[in-house]
Amino acid sequence: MRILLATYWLIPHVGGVWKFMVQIKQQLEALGHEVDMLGNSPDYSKFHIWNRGVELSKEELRPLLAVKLDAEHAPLLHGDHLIDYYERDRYMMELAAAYFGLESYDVIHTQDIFSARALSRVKPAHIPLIAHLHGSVATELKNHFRSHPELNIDEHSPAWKYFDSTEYYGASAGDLTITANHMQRNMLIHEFQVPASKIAVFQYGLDTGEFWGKAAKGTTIQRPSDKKVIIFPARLVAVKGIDVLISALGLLKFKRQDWVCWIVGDGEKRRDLESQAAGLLLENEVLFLGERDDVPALLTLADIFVHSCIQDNQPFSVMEAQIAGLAVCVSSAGGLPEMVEHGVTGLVSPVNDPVALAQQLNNLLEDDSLRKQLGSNAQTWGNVHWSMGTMIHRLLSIYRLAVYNPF
Amino acid sequence: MEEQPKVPVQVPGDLYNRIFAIQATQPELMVEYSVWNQIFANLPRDYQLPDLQVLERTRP
Repeated sequence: MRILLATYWLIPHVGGVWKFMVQIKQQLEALGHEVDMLGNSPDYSKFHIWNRGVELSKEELRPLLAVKLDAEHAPLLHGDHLIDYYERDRYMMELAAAYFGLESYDVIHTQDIFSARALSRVKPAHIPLIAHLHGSVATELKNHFRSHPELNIDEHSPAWKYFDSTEYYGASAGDLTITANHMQRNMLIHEFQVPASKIAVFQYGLDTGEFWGKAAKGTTIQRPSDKKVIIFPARLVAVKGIDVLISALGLLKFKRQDWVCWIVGDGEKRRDLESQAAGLLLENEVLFLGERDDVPALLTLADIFVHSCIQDNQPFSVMEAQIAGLAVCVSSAGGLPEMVEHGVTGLVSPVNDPVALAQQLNNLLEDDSLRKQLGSNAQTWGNVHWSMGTMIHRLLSIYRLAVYNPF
Repeated sequence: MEEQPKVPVQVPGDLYNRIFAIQATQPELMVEYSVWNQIFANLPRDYQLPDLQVLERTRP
């Protein structure tokens, strides 16, 4: 089959969507399929089919859209600068996709609401579209609006309604929509009125061979001989809730000092988080390692993995920690409770609850057998549940169904 | 035979008015023919800008 993987987001990128696209491209090509990848360029200047080096500069499109979609002729577009920005950029994706031509593909597999809506509007009618959603843009944006009242955007505002509208039309755009967990499926059905019959749920896969290959390369970081290692690999952004972990560590330090914490990653919150750690006198315990490409090796040196996020879908980092056999402590945000069975494959604490997290960390540091048992259970479960082979098999079944027995 | 490089050909943007929900004349705006003609040829016949279905739900 010829398959087009498409995203509105940037390709290549450090985020999970790009990682997912690369994984399934490699897996599908190993099975003899042909896979192209369409998306925004890293500098937002063009749309491109990255693997073929085909591109269209937005400057070819922008001038005509500017005059034809001005405030007089397209007033709804000008209701808010966010609407204007996202809609105009999506229209350029639609025009770029038409320019590249979609006729030769057997299946189009989009990775977000914008690309799903965009490609559904320009694809030939007979080519099926599978819309994979890796999170909720509307939910993230509405949380952002709520936490920034100075923006004056509430549920009556055009921008608020715009993201709800795009979530609905994007999630409904495909012949079938795929989510990674039931949390997101239920949200699409109940909050965005997407028909239940359109949504399939199956989890992501992890290439364990690649993971263990990277782990075997080792790391330059050494673990302290007399302390346990708590690790939190993530982009240092607000939604990851790293501040919750640092608050918990501030409490933990009063109880015990037989640990260090490695924060692995970079991002806009790094300075704030470093200040928070310094304010709690944790400079010697909390180490900011920055962006690194040896996370699998770091995981094999660690004892406890934490993901105290405010909102997340099905993060690869938790999957990797489970494959590595670590005891994991996650928050109850988003799809995380579907990844960790509390007391069996890890521990789950309420969102934004540093006291509960500190207590769980203390328990795991205190009780070696509990920590090792949770890690071992997670590894056994993860090796089956996160099987890449299973995910690719499910994906191909959906492609074949869409191509040979249209929905 | 070597492929000749494409020579830019500018045409009035109004040639592509069909895809806009409200059609207005701006004869002074020129666009690249090879790009827009290829886009125009591949778009579904009912394709329109802006996406009024999405935008209708944004009304205050």
